[in-house]
Amino acid sequence: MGKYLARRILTTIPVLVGISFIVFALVSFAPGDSISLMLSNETVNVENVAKLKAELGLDRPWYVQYVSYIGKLVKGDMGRSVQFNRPVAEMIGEKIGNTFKLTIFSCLVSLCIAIPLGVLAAARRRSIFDYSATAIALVGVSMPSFYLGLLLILFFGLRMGWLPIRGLPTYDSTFLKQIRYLILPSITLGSSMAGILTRLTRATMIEALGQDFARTARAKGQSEMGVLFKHAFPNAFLPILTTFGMQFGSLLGGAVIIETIFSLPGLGMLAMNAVKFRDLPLIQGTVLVFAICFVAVMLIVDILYVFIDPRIRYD
Amino acid sequence: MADNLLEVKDLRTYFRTEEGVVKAVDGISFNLERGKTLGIVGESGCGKSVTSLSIMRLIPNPPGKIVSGSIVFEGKDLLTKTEKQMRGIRGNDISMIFQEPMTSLNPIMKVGTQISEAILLHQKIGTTDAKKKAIEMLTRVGIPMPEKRMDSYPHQLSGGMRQRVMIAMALSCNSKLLIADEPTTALDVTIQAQIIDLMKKMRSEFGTSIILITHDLGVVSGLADDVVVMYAGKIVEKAAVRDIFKDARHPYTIGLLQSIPRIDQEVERLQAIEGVVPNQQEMPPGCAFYPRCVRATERCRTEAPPLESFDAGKRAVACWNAVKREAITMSDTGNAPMDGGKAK
Repeated sequence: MGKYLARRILTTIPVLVGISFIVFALVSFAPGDSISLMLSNETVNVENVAKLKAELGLDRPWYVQYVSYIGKLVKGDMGRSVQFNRPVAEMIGEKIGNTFKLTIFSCLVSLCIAIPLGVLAAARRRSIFDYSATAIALVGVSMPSFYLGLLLILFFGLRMGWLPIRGLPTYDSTFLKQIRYLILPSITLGSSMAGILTRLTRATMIEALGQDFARTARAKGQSEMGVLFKHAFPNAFLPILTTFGMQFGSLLGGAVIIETIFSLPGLGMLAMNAVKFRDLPLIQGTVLVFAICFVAVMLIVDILYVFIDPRIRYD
Repeated sequence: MADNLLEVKDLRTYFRTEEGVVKAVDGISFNLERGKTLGIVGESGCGKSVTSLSIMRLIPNPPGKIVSGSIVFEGKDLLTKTEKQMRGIRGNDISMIFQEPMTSLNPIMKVGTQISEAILLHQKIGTTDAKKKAIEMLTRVGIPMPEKRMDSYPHQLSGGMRQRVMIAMALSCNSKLLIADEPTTALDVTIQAQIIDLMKKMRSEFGTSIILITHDLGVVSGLADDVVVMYAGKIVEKAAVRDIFKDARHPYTIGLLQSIPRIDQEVERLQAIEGVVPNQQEMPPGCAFYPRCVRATERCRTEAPPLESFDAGKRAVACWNAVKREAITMSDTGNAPMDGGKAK
């Protein structure tokens, strides 16, 4: 087991190196120039541009730039934001907490909807409940999140006035207060994942319930609930977990849009602004952090496998 | 009067499918005496497994349904029990083992936990005692190092070991009736013999009655007292195991017997029963076996033969042209060419 874990953790290293290179390359070779943005209109001339380029090390060959980028990265230096003239790492550190809150809440929302809905739909297959659950899941998957977000804002925020529709109170406010602000964005962000996971849970549960071991459990005198949750669900959980990990990536991508709609000061909004201003170091930093989060989640999923499925440990 | 543990009367289990109603079990009756073993024999799709699942009331509904009949276990009809009452019976009074020991155990649960689960469901004891009982059961079914094996997962055991675990689990609550659905089919021949021996041992130790479902008459001869032969959802012949092997009456039973390879007879080729079990939608109006039968006549085509008793009710056969012992000739034993098309 230790061997498996060590091997799995080591495989993330080349992945991370690859990510850092792609992130570096995408931004370095992208058209557009942040130098001219940095200089005010009067001072843009060949001499000043060359001077600033030399100052920032942008006149060196790309591979030299990449090596120095990696060297700094290892020390936690992600460069300085061109727009704000502050260390990128510090800015990301300020915002990442909010994005974590949003994504974790969205995951919770989608799991809390998807798993009970999917399990019960499988248990009451071909019933009205099953058909309704499938229909709800279809809506969840198909509805664009920005549109759902606007509908939620319109109804729960503006019409009913139950929930706040924008922003997130800063650190001095209580956690409970922050939850209120996270409800609508989390539902918006989690809905598509909830839809996908509901359908998947239903399908894998139907498969597990048809397996021989489910019949053995029934023949033992186990109740239908016992068969569902003690036998079928743990077996159905592996594919659910895998998809959950994969979907987490699109959740991070979705955070960019949702944070903008709900004016949530998170990593997504930071990335959005960085793109608008061609703030290259900040773009690199945010994209890198998103990618690392995704790699970390996949790693966690793979480690969880080992604890859920004993067959993996000995393979 | 015989002390019957189980009396099945006119059991009918039908499945509703898109192509129409499939009569998987169509009016079968049999009794099982306490401490005895009944073999239910037939080809795939003859309704033997559906019979066993009907007794357990584990027919998936929909699409399946027990439409009529009675299953009287220890004097009480199981078909009138509530689902909760049935849960108290399953795994406790009646337990079951299945064909595929690989897939019949939960792959991600320790075998010890799976055995303890059965004990905890039916006996008012704590987890520690249940674990002790599970270890005891593993010892009794001949698993070496039972304490260590408690923590094994099914994939770490061989097929034979897994079937032993299944038997340990099934008998952990001292069941009165064990239904074994093809318990040896998925195993190697040497392991098959071991499992049959184990079942015999368990039968004498626990006094369990057994319903043995198989397509393998060899297994039946080793274990069963009585035999019921099923074809297309109906019983075609009933007899004591000795009589079946010495004096089978139904052409189908004779065909089954001839398809067993035998060491004491020199035969050029094994005799197969030509054709396949008819599709339920294409079931002939008369005898279901008629299209494959060597003795078929015009009457067989139009009229289904009833199951008629003889030998003072000890035996029964459903055939218009049942073979009389004296009358067995070479053509009946099948060395003559199959001639199913004659009566068409």
